[in-house]
Amino acid sequence: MDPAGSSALLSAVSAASPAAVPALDPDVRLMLAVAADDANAFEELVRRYQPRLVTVMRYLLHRDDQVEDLVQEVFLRVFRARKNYQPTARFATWIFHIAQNVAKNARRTLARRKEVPVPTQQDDSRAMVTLDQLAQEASALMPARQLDRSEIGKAVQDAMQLIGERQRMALLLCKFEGMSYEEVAETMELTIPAVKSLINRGRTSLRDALQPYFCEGRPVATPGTRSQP
Amino acid sequence: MTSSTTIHPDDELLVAYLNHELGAAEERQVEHRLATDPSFRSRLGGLQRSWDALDELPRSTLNAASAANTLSMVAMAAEQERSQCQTSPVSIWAPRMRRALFLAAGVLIGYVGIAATRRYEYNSKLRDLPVVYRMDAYRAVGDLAFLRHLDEEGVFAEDLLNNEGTAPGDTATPDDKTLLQPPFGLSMTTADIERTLRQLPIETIAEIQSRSRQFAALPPVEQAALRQLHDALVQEQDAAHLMAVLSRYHDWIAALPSSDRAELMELPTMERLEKTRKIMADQLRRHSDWMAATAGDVQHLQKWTADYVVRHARELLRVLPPRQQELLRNANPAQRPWLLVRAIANAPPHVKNNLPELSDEEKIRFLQGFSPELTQRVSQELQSRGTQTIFDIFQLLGVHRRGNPRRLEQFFEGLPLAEQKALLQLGPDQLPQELRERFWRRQEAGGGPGRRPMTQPDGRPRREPWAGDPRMRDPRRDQRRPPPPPRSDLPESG
Repeated sequence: MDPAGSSALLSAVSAASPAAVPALDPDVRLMLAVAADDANAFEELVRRYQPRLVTVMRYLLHRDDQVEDLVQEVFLRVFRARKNYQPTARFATWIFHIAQNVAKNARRTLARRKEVPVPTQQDDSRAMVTLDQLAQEASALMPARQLDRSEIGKAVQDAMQLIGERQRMALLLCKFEGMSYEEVAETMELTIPAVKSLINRGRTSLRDALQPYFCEGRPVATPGTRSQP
Repeated sequence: MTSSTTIHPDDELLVAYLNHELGAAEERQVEHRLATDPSFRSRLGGLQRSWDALDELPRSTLNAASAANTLSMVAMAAEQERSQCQTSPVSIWAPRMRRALFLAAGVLIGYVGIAATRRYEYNSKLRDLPVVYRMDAYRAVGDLAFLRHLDEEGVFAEDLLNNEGTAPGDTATPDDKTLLQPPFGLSMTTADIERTLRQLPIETIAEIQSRSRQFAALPPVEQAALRQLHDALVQEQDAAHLMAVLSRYHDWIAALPSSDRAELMELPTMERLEKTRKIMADQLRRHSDWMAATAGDVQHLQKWTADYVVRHARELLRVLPPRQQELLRNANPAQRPWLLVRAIANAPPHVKNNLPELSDEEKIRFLQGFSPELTQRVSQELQSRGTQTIFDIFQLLGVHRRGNPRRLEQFFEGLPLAEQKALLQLGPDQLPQELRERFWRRQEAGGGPGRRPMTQPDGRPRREPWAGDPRMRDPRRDQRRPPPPPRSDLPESG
């Protein structure tokens, strides 16, 4: 961080109320540096949050072809809002709140357009499968299959599609971001009891969706398919 | 969606219990109930397991290209901001963002370069798969010139096991209809190969993996030679026919004792051809009593076997390795019985030992259909070898019938006039048999009477149609071939 950036950060920190600044959150400090036009700090935030945002967005929208664009949109909004940034809570709650709004808009737009996903260049490169991968995929079809991690991961992904969007968001924030009820409430602009109820319902819905898989080894019924008897 | 479902009070209690949100008294109550109520316990187990399962969701890692894109996009936004506020002093962002832009462009170029390289390597591997799958057969023939010679000899041009279940006539054009028919056709594009690959059963993929490893272990020169043979073969007008010849030669060589096999594969083209002739003549001599087989015998064998194979398909299929079972299940139903016969006929002894026993009634019906000359021989075989006799006879008769009528006719025309006259004195039953014997005696002597005459009708030496074609040049023709590495698909001993 260059001296100009440091001094801007210091002045921003000292200008804010000491009680309001979660001084222990290093990401808040980075964001304050960004507010003082520190490009390195912004780069560091991108490095820290891009994979986390991609993960949450992916399971929130189930649209791999859109996720990276949407995450870019989140960072663009962070950048544009830098001058008005108020460090009143953990940085994560703020950025995931933006992410939730971006996802909500994207869902609305997608619903209006009724888009069919088109394989992108990246999809194409992902399509390059190795023989080992094919063997692994094919072995999952065998009756005496092993419940390996990737298979469970796939089942959970399918089960997540069956859960309401808000429940999903609450579960993801809780599980992946380790947020407390208060932080989830702040991110999602809800009351704490509402978050509790969301998480309770999310957990039971997830259990019910995964039940056929765990108990009988049947695939999880995705919205496009019917569960087999 | 299940979002609207109302939560069961027990679930609410259990989630609170799992989150340690209950008081001590409530916790004790829950634990007491857990100890006594299995459905309550099962609810808790499900909640816990599904929560833990969330850890198995794959998480993204930092994507350098995407991060660079984000930075460059933000840099552009910053530039835009700056240009909109012309009055503001030179932004501190400008040089940094320019740097970020350069960095992003660099990363992007690198990413595109790496992706293109990876795609190229991937396509090369895909292109190799048809070669990899036919690797053993290609190594058995070595070069196109040898394959052409084999075709000219005519000994592998027809097969008793054709798909229609009839004795192959002279007009039949053999196709690549063998069990070893690879999943990848000769003229497939990389896209076709990729599509096919995704549809293959696990057993076939495992086999391709294993063959790919063997192929990768070959010296680059040999890999290149195999690719060259494949490319040359694909460009031939009669590629399917040549492939059938190649496949039959491979079947034949696979059934040879390992010493013969090793020797054959080491020899240069012409010597290999001579050795092939010699081994075939030996086979003929060892089983000379099969010479008595008539067209009626062959017809009976084919008809009876077709019926037998259809009735016992399930039991017969079970003795084969899983990959062949899979291939046969997916085969054209009309071809399936003959492919099954071929698979068993070419199977190693331990597979043939597991064949189901023939019933007494089946044995009688089988023997009844043969001509009197052959019945005793077949009966002996049946006593000593059981069910595998049926499949062995196909191979034995196949060897004898390889001196096919068209070749015999050519052979006859090439004989001195006096010999022709002497032969014509024989009766219609004896003539073909005698002709066949003489044909094979010449073969053994290396004279190659079954081959096309070396001169054209006008006396000029015959120029082979492929002579002078650089693709047909065999650089190793006069050299000893290096000993091949051990093969996994052949039995250790004949």
